[in-house]
Amino acid sequence: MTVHENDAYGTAPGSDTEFTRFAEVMWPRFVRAGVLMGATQAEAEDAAQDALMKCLRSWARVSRTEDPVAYSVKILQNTVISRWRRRSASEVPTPRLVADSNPSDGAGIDDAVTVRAALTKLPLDQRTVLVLRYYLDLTEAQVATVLGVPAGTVKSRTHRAMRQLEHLLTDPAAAQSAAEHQEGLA
Amino acid sequence: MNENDLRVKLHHAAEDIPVPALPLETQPRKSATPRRFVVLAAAAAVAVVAAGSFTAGTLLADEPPATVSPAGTGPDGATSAAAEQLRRQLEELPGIPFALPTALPDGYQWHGTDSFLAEPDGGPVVMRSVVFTLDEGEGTAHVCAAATDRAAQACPISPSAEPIRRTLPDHTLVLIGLTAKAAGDRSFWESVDLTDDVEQPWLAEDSAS
Repeated sequence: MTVHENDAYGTAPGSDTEFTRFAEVMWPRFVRAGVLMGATQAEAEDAAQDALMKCLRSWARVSRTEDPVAYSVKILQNTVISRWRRRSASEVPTPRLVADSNPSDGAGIDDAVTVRAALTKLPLDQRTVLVLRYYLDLTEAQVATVLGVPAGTVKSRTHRAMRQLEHLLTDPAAAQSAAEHQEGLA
Repeated sequence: MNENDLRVKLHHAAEDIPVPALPLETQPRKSATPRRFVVLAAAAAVAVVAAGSFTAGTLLADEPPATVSPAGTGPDGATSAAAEQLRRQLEELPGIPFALPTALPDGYQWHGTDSFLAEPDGGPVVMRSVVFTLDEGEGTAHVCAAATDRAAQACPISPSAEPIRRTLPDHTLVLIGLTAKAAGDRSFWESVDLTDDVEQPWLAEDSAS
């Protein structure tokens, strides 16, 4: 996703109004991206707000010298991951298996719950790259900036993550195995 | 699974994740986690994000009214903030109008605007969608108006959800996507009158009283 040039907002670059409009676009996407990345609803809302707050504080600079989307998504991603790790360390994981959502009940494997459950079975780095790339629609270069890795790493990680997700969505047994494997690592 | 398939799956997977209104005030939010202070001054919800050759975006989800009034009982001459916001969006991003129901089934609330799609280089909006929530977010109904079949493909509704497809007299296509919890109201959404008039009683703030 690429934010239009500043004049597309019809407001002065760096202005509060410009930021407000940026935030209005990003807020729902950030909340939902946070949940897709593994945060709870409340964590995702807090992380989205943190990201926008920090972006606001530096808006005059960020809007002129950096990519505001990559800048704010990096904050979001860092916040979500740090909270997720903190929670994971203090909670007993409860498995939510892909198989539980019964892909053969007519809704099919496209069912939103099934896809979200499968996402949770991916390793964190793979889950994150998919959400950044295909939910937030960042370019490979933006994802590389957010994750602090080379673009080639983004490409290969994305490829692996897509294959793994596809596997999980088409083979519930694999999803269960992956879940058990992840719990074993937890 | 190709990239587009995955994009559709993830957007569909995110569809029913509730999004509260963007904090707009400078006071702590009432029902929030402790450190929820706010960020922004209120402003019209307009933003522009490029996606492919079109311009796409997600607009602010409005704070829903406390309750929903029955259809046809709006306040005398009152213009609700939500209706005013819809009007501002139409002025700032002209193009296809919203497709709004003239009534809501029991348990539904206005949630807000969702995605839009505009033609490149400042062209008109060719797709707009709005969201209603059922039982405080247990279910959702997306109502998406599109000028063309191609524009309708950008509606934030997964084809796998078997959306209701309607065509209005002016040839506007309307796709209505219901999540599983809202599927029981399918017949309502198939027949309810749709209008581009933003002055709807369920939008009026005063209708809650």
